[in-house]
Amino acid sequence: MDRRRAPTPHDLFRRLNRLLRGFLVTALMSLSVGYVLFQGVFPTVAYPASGEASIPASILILGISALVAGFASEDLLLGMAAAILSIFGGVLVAGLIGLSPLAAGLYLVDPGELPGFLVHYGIVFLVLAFIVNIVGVIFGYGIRERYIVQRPRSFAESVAMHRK
Amino acid sequence: MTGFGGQRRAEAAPWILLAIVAVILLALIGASIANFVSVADAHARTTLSVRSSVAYEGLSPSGLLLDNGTVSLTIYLSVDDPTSRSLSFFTVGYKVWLEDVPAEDLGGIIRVPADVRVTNASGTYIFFNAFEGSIQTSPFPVPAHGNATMPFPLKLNRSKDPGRFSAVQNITEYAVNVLGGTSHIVWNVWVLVNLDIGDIPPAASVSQASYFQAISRVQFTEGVDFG
Repeated sequence: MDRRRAPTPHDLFRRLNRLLRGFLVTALMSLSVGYVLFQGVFPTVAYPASGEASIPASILILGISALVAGFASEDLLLGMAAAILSIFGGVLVAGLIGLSPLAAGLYLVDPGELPGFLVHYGIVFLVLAFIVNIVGVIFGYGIRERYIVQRPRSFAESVAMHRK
Repeated sequence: MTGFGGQRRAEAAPWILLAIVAVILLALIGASIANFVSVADAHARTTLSVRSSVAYEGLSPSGLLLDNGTVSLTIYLSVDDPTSRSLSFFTVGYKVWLEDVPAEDLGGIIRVPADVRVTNASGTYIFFNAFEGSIQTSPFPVPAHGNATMPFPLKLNRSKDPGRFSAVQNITEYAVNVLGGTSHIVWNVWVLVNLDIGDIPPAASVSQASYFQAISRVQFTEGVDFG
C-alpha cells in the first residue's frame, strides 16, 4: 500500500516559504561576502577606500550578516546550506561589482579573468567568510531557538500550544 | 508571556533585521560601484597631448652652437580630464631623438650613444638619442572636469653630457651649413606619463600586488619609441 500522500496546498506553501527563506538568507550572506571580497581585493577603489583591507572590519561585516541570517533561518541545515552557497554567491556579487564599469562602457578589468582574479587575490577573504558564516549562523540560530521559537517543554504544554 | 500577536512580532524581528543589514550592504556596494566606476572613467576618458619646442642658447653669429651653448627642449604635457576625479602628474619617462642628417648623408659617423636606424614606407632614416630619462615629478595637479599643461624642460650642454652634446652640436652645425638652419632638424619625442588618480589612498605596503598601482594611476605613452 502506498503510504505517500499527494502534497496539499499547505505543504506546497510551506515548501515555497522555506525555499524563499533560504534564498533570502543566502542572498544576504552573498551580499556581505561579495562586498568583503571586493573590498579585500580592491581596497583602494572600494567604499570606504583604504590602502589595505581591514580584517577586523571584514569579520564584523560578515559576522553581523551571518548572525542575522542564522537568526532568520528556520532550521540549522538551511542556515548551513546558505552559508556555503553564499561563498559562490559572494564571488558572483564581487564579480558584478568588478564588472560594473562595463555598464558605463568602461573597461578596467578583463571580464574573462575577473572571477579567477578575485579568487586568487581574495582567497583569504573567502576562507574567512566561510568560517565566519558557519560560526555566525550557528550563533544566530541559537539566539533564535533561545528567544523566538517557543517549544513545548511537556506534553501538556504542547497540547495547550496547539489549542491556542 | 507574549500572546499570538507577540509571537508574530518576534517572528518578524529577524526579517526586519535582515532587511536593515541588506540595505546597509547594498548602500556600501552601491558606493563601491560608484567609486570604482569613477576610477574606470578616469582611465577611459582622460587624454594626453604632447607638443615640444627647441631653443638653442649660446650661438655664434653664423648660427652655430658654441661649446658653452645649451640645447633647451621643453615638452608640454597637456592633460584633458573631463571626469569627476582630479589627477596629479607622478612620473615622466622620455626619449628624444633628432634626425642625424650628417650620418645619413656622409656615413661612417660613430655616435655615443649609437644612432638608431628607422625604416618606414618613405625610406631609412638615422636618429640620434639626445635626451633620455625618467623622473618623479613634483606634484602638478589636473583638476576634475578641467585641464592642465605641465611644461617639462630638458637641457643639454657640454658639462652635463659631453658625448651627446658633441653629437647634437655636429648635427646642428650640419643643419646650419647644409640644410639652411636648425629649424629643418626633425625631432621625435616619446613620453611615458603616469598620473595619480585623486583620492585613492596609497597601497599600505610595497609588496602588494602591482594591479593596485595600475588601478590607481592613469598611464599614457605618446610618440614613437625608436628603442
